[in-house]
Amino acid sequence: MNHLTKNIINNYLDNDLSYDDKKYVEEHIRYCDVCKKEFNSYVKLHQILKTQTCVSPKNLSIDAIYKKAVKLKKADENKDNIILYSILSIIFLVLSSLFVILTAIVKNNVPLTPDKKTNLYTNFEIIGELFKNFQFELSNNIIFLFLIILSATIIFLVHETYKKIKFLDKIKNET
Amino acid sequence: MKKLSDQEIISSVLKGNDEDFKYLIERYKDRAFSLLKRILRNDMDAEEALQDSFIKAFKSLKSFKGEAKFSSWFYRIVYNTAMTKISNRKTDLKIVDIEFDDNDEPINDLSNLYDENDTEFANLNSTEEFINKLLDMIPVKYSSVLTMFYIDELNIEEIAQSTGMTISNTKVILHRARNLLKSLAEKHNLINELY
Repeated sequence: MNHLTKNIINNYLDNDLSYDDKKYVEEHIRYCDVCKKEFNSYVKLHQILKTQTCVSPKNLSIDAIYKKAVKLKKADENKDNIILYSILSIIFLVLSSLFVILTAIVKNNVPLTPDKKTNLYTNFEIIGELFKNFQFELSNNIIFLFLIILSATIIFLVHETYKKIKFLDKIKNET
Repeated sequence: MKKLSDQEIISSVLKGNDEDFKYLIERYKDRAFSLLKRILRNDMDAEEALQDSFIKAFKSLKSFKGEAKFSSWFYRIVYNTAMTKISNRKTDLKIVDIEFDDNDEPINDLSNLYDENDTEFANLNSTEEFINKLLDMIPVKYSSVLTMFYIDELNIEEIAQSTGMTISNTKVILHRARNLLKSLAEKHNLINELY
């Protein structure tokens, strides 16, 4: 006659046996003292483990956890917003700049795709010609100034975004 | 305490009632802390990990689809946070002692788990203290599964979801943990004290 295995006893405790197997275990321990002792040890351990209670954290209140969670979530959302707005602003500024440059090119009758040569030198010549004209026309001076301001704004925006992100990360780490 | 289901609380939080998240904290903080303390074996680390777990849960609540129970989803966060904590610190507790995989081998040699001259048992007064001492002696993966099953009251399926194990392997780990705990109790002659 085989004794009950640990696996069967464990499955019994987990209520993981069929009705017939469960009956078999109960029948078996009625006349097998070895298995009865083993079975009872498992059952007692099972019961003791069931009575174990939770431990509460001593230094953490619900409010403290909640406040920190809200603060960090907001910091993350701010960071996402800053990045999004900065990207949108930069895209807008770049498109505006392109528009201004193209307008300048069209206004000065500079061909976009040179007929003769399409090498780098020719392109520099075109840009040089464009900038030379800027010195003499008031409207072009304004465009030139506008381009400088745009570039400066983009640089400033990127710098400020970087600073803000760094600051938010610092707050996050400190909290 | 409102008698709301986890799903109802989550829906309310997602609608903008952030304060309702406190109900989830209230409901899970002690149970999650018990598990973290068992895994990290240090109150301070456990409290830090508990806070991080709730923060992660709060931030990513939108991604909770309700396909599984919130408890399984949350315990997955708790478990991963504990893993990160262990891998970030240099202690005697190795990640290999706690990682759940499907190639776990039963522990037959108990001599590595306890010190025969350990006199601490003589100073333990309650059954709870005895059990806690025994749980501290067995590998963390075993004690944490026992904690999830008995203290956190997760079922086998939920434990499997939380730890990333298969259901059958979770059962095997639970059984081995129980067997090991019983063997240790017998080895320490605690069986009579306990029972």
